[in-house]
Amino acid sequence: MKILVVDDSRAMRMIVQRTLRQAGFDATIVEAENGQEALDKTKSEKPDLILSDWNMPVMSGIEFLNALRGGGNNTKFGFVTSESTPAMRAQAVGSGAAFLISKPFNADTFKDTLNGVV
Amino acid sequence: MQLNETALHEAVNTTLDALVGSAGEAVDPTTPNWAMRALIEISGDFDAVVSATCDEHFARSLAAAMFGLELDETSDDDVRDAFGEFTNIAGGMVKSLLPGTCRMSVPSVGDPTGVGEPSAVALLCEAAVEHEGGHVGVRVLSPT
Repeated sequence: MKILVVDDSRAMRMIVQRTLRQAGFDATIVEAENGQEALDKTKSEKPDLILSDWNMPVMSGIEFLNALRGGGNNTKFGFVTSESTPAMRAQAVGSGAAFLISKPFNADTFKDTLNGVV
Repeated sequence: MQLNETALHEAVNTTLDALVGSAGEAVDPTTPNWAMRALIEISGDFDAVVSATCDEHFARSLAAAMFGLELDETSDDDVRDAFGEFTNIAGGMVKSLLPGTCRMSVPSVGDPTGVGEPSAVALLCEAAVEHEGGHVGVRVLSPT
């Protein structure tokens, strides 16, 4: 399994990878630091799952998701974000996201959420 | 829950616990010598600024824990990145306590003299903790 982790913070990308390992997901990790880079890497790397921050410079997570779905790409997609209002969850699901994980999170959060998706 | 000092303190410690595995002890916010500041603007139905400051030891310790490095292995970029993410998570928790629909900016991080708090603001609440010899404080400000 290949997972694209998208976050403008390198520290958070590392923590997401570490948490994936702790949750038992043995995956090849590809990284991107904003939505535009992620859009390019989705095409070149063809990940099985995308875990994306919402609030990023250059291109936000929701803009990335909309661009992805607008281009006909249906790769499984979830947000990992510090913002998680009901309105954002509704917008995420409406745009084609499978889930939204709130920061801070732990390995159990990843297990509970991802086991139904991958 | 509403935003107040207790809720802000809980947000700081929940963030710390998630990132480094333990919470801190409450301290007087005016005590430490701040070495770094991160600012996040919240706008929408409620306008606010989340201003997080920390001393050098806290910043290095946080980066070391987040990157899995020794203290002396952390670069200045690692430290800014880690403290920005700390502020981003704490800011998200603050935002969830504010009324209405709001948006949050990405954090601006740097030296407190370069990343200054805006003028003409009122202090809504603040909280500071000591964590393993380092100090971090978070203030929530609102335009007057």
